Amino acid sequence: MDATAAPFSPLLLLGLALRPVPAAAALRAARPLVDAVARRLSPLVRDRLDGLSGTVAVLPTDFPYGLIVHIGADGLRMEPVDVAAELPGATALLRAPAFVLLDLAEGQGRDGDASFFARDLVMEGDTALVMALRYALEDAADAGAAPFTLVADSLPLPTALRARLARHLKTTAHLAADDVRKVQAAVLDPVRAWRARIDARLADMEDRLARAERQGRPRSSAASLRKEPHASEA
Amino acid sequence: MPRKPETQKLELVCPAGTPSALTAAVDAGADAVYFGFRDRTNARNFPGLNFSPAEAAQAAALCRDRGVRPMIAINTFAASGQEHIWRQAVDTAARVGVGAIIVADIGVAAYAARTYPDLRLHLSVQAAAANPEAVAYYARLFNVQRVVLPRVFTVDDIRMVTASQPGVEVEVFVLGGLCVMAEGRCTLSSYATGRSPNRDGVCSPAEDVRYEQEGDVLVSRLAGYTINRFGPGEDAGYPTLCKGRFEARGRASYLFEDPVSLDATALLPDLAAAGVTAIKVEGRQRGKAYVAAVVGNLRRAIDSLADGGAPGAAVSAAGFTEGGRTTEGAYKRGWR
Repeated sequence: MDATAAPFSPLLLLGLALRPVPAAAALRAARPLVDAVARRLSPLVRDRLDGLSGTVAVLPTDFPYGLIVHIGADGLRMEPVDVAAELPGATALLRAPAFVLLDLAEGQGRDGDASFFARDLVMEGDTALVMALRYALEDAADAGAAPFTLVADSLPLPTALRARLARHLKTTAHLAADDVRKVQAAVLDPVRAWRARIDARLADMEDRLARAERQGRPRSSAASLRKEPHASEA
Repeated sequence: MPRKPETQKLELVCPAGTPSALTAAVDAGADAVYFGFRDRTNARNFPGLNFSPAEAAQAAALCRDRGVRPMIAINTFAASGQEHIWRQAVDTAARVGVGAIIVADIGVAAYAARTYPDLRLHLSVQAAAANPEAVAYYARLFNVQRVVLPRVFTVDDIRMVTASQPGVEVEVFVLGGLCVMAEGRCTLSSYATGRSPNRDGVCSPAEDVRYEQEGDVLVSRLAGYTINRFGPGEDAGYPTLCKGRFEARGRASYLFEDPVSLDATALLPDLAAAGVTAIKVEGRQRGKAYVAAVVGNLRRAIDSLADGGAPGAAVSAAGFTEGGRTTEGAYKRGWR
């Protein structure tokens, strides 16, 4: 996967559905939730981020909005951002499909190194700050501040409901991702099958050509091979 | 019916850079977990990584509760005039009750052996003890009970050490980053960055690493030196000079080693037969997802082997590997 390309995902579809909403209004609406998440997260990551400062732009490739994470002596602050906007103050940038970013924050799926090796994750700028943030988030997730829990805990709900909501959000997100993958497979599988047939036919023709050349037949005889019926057509 | 091997069951030694990774390792079936303090006394001195003394105490307690041996790596070389930093690390490790400390420096080993004679000492791969005489020397002088052998040994080399030094346990790396240099003596990163893996605990310090996207090409730089350019879709690797791609005689290639991960899972029977006591996973800098996955796979491989079966599928199937590829390293290759 190319980390700069948007994968087909539930968030891609959600982003398309959000298109009619002006970006400024969407950002304003998200602000209280993002502030609450940052307040809950900040004390849990402060220790691992001690002595570091800077601004990390976390930008999903499949959703129109991301986060700017400000790290400093006062802990951590976050603000929602339009991924298409200029980000002149960012000292580091992380860009990946939203589910890769979620896995990173939660410490599940593949780790950051693996996503980076596979080119599913783009990291630019202050590498030290991004590494420290990643370790801090993994520890915070173990301390009860995984992404979906953070969102649920930031809503004005009774405590028992928050835990249920967090589980529900996580389950729904993964089910939605599975469903989207099924849709994608349904669309692409016939194309893949068609391509596999073409590849097999090409390989067969190359094999015949190689054999013909080994037998010392003139190269032009390869043209006659095209007239022979293919095994699958016979 | 498969015959049960007569060799001892291999001990699984796993990395932890954070408390959450440590918990993942314990849950996944580690026999021992190694970790380090947040300073230059250990060879993974990266920002945001490692354990405070309080976290180390909690980690050691968790390990003991779960029947896992906690180990603390104090495996860099003490700087002259600053030995107190390394001594303090040894003192803290002894105080929190670890099952072993992993040392590289002779002075640190001497201090630990003299001050805490009951504290188990392991010799780090950083010490580069590369022959039976060196191993015997550390055992005799400091009562080192285990030695971690360099990652450039063949199985026959390992057998030579275990046969000639039966009183010293041998631990070898089977999975993770592959350091192809004489560990503890490599100065490639120091040359570029001014900070040393051996004295400061950082190979390719994160502060000196920069990645840039130039269109579809990923460029990695260390201290301003371009060390690799990964083409579109090409799996990337760590920003270390030993795995840099350099141009020589007009052709860009990997002069030392490709970006590739060590995976010697298939060799576990050979290693056990060669007298290896413990197998080690590299990767204190990795996330807990990596730790959970590879430790779980190796646990199953060791248990299968102990029951007379095969070690099972290679751990590389988990998809965590550098450069998207694995190697059995020097265990099978001719270079050293």
